[in-house]
Amino acid sequence: MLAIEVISTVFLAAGAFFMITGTAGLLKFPDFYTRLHATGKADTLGQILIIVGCMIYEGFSFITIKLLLVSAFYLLVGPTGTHALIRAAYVTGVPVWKKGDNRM
Amino acid sequence: MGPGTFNRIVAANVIGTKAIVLLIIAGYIIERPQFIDIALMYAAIAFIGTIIIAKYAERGELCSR
Repeated sequence: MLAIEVISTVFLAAGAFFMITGTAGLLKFPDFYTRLHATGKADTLGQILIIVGCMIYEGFSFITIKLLLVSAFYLLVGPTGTHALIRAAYVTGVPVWKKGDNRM
Repeated sequence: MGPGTFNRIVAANVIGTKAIVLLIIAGYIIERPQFIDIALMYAAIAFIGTIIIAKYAERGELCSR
């Protein structure tokens, strides 16, 4: 029981670290594309790590399957939404940040 | 969060992601596993909202004829 709690705590802490990192990137990066570069991957990884930690804590039951469903669904739709958003911004003509520019 | 349409969509997307995780953790804290279903539905609705607003901002219309 103790080993399961330790492993799930490690997963939850890793997920929280990745989500905090992604949010810091969202707040600090100078451009729309770099902001999505920070959040699009770090948030997906952090959420999946947190859900895997919950699954390990839960054991094998019906709730585990539902958590796996949530995780797989977000793994599918998170990068898809990010890609659609970046494509829409690039087609519309959102300016790209270059080195030396101001924060946009 | 930021000027312009797309920065606000990104902010809504990030808030949606955090809300999913917070729903799951809150469901564990107060011991109600029904919150996982709510998290799943929230993920679906946030995804549909992101896709539709991105499509509308890209093309200026939703139904292409």
